[in-house]
Amino acid sequence: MTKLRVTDAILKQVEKPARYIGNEVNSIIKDKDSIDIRFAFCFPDVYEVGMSHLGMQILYYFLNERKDTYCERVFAPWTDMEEKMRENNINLFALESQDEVKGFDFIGFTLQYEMSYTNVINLIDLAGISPWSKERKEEDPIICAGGPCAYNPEPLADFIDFFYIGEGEASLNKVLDIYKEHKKNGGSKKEFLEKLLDIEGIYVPAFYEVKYKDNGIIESFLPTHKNAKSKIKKQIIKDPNQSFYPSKLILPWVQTVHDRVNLEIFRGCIRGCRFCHAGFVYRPVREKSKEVLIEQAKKLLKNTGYDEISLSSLSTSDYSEFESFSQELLQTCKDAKVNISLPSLRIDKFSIDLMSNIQKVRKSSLTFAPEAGSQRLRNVINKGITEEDILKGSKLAFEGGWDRIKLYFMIGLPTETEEDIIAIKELADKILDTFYSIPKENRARNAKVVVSSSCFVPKPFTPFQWEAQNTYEEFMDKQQFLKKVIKRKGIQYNYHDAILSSLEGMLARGDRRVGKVIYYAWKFGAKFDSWTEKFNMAHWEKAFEKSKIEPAFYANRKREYDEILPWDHIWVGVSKSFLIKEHQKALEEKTTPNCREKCQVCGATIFQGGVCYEGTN
Amino acid sequence: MKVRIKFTKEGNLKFIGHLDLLRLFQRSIKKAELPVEYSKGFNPHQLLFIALPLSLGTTSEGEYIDIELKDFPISELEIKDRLNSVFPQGLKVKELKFLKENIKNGMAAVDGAEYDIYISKEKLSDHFYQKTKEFFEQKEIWVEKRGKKESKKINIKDKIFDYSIRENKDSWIINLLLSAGSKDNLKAEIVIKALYEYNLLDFKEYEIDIHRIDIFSRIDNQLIPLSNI
Ligand code: SF4
Repeated sequence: MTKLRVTDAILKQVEKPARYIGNEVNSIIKDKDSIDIRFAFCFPDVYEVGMSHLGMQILYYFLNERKDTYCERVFAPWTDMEEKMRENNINLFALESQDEVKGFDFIGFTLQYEMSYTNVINLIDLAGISPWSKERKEEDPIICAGGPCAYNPEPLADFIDFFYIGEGEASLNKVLDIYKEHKKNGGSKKEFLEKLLDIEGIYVPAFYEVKYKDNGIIESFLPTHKNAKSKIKKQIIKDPNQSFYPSKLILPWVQTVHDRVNLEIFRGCIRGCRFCHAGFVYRPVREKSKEVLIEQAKKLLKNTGYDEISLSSLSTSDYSEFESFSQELLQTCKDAKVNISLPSLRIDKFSIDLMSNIQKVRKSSLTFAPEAGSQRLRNVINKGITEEDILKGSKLAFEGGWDRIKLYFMIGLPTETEEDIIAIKELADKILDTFYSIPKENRARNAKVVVSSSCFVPKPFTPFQWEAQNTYEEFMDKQQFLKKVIKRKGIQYNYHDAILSSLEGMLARGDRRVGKVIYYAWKFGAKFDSWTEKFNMAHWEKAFEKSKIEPAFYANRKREYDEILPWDHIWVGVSKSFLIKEHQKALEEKTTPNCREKCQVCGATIFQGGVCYEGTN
Repeated sequence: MKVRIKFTKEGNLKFIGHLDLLRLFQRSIKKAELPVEYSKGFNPHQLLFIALPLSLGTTSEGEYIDIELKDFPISELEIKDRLNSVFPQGLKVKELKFLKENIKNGMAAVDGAEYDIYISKEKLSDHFYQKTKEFFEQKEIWVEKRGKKESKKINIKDKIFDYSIRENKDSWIINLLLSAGSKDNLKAEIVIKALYEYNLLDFKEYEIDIHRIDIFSRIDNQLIPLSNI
């Protein structure tokens, strides 16, 4: 049995000690002596959150396919454990070997949300390493990062040695091959980073220099090394049928949010909702074939013993063979006594029937995400769902026995007016009216419509990347206004304090200077910012003051099309001219057809695969 | 058909809580492709019964779980091997046998449990052995039992069926046979806490190691391990 890094006495005093012991079913233990590369894969949040993340598990098995590499997992110790670790001088350690990550070759962070940035810094510090790249020593591990937030790497540019842009399976192996060679021959860390400049998809921030104008806007962003590329091209797998997918998943010791098999059915999204970061950076859509999926589902169920499987994608109903695939999966699962859960389904006749079929248990609520209340605003954001779709879907659901509809909206979308907000209330009203228009014997006794609103955060690589975000006060006023107009019994309104969205708005479109804010916020005590009970705005306010950075410059300022944006050197496929066109269409309230209806020549064809080459367009 | 499994939960697995252990069993049974029976009703679950939950942080060489399986041709040995091949390190089937239909399930059958408690000698005085004997020989042993609203004093003397004390190089090892089960459950840590207080020592639960040896059922006034029924 692996000797634990932390003593029993400490583990007995912390919450959920199983977070720190490793050795779960299906985890991988390797002989350290026959390994060339030690890789600490770090999810900057607590164990249960990280362990329910599919991407991490895929890359974990992918890296461990290599005989020369030992990839281990690291999560953020919860605050009770961190306290004990600091008290007893215990450095951050990896779960599998329980060794300190300080001695590893790589520490790789996956950046899933901006509010985990202070945790990134905290973890590097907890490892006993300086968070600042330039202060780190030769013997310290190389620190890299990837994931959706890495598409704007600048806020963390001073802390991370290199960023990997795109899907790890595509060319992470090249990085490791070069490293192995480099380690064998000996050489400095800088020399290794220089070698990386030859690989596509690798961004080494130290080889670039940013200059600013007096008004704070970027004046130039230029390579300082002759081999540094002016554009870093996203790396993706062309055909997911041919690419690596694990046949196992680690069974977490502690119950996680998604404690089940997660089967990824496609990457990307054909829709092009204009607010959606994932919808642009993951282009083009690449699907797995039905046969491959059924095969993978069977293997994963067998090797995990899970009794539930969930399909994972941005928009499940858009899978091109969805009807026949779901029938086949249903049969497979029935035989094996396995439940299916289907998130992000479009609500129509087919999906209602499907859900009635799989949910023999009590019917819980159904979810729509119209995102905006009025058709006008839905056109602005290119959300291709109409009021008719929603009302029809609700009617079917009510007649099918459901009695709770959840609606998701965003507040603060570009061009939003008071009328658009009132339209949210009106839509909820109409859904409830629909319920009461159904004869009593064909529906439940009462129904509830739950309206939830989140605050819009403009994201890089979307047509709204130039837009000003609403201020905190604007968000709060709008929420209060909506709260006031929603009076009817049977309609419930949920909303959150907007402060986290405001911060996220600053970080998401931040430049290199924002790194200082993150650093100081951490210094002043910020960590686990995405956890409401741990979040404290005072840390951030002090950090703004100390770093002399004005958050409104990043969050609430409208940019011109010709401004150099901090992420302009990252090339995701989708072109700037396409985004400008989409932005203008948004302002004209014009919609854009999806990839399968009519290709918009967005730029993603450079990847030579996926939906762009399906032959339908 | 019902099987009773005696298993160990040792080493780092002491940090897996009761509900998480139950989930681990559910996965393992599926992985081992054993045709388990499900409950009827809205939310069908596997028919598993753990005899006596083990506190987080406690190891054991005598845990029990009863599993209801569909009738199918398989030997006791085969089920045991299949489970052991999917269990993580620290979890191991020691004995496994089919149960007669009329035998009581898990918790209902439990009347006693035996523990070894390891207490480091480091902070203890030379009189600890003597004081321990004195403590257990008292006519009555009163402890405070904290309830939801108020705490009350109870006498646990009758619930301590037997005790002994031995030592190794570093620790005193107190062996306890305690009343257990749904009617009258006495946790080992309560007894040790009272012992500490008797010795005027400050009790910190994380400083002692508790190890469960076995679980018993009372038959004809004799305590018999659940595996021998
Ligand atoms: S090139 Fe056309 S089909 Fe391909 S992602 Fe862009 S819009 Fe869609």
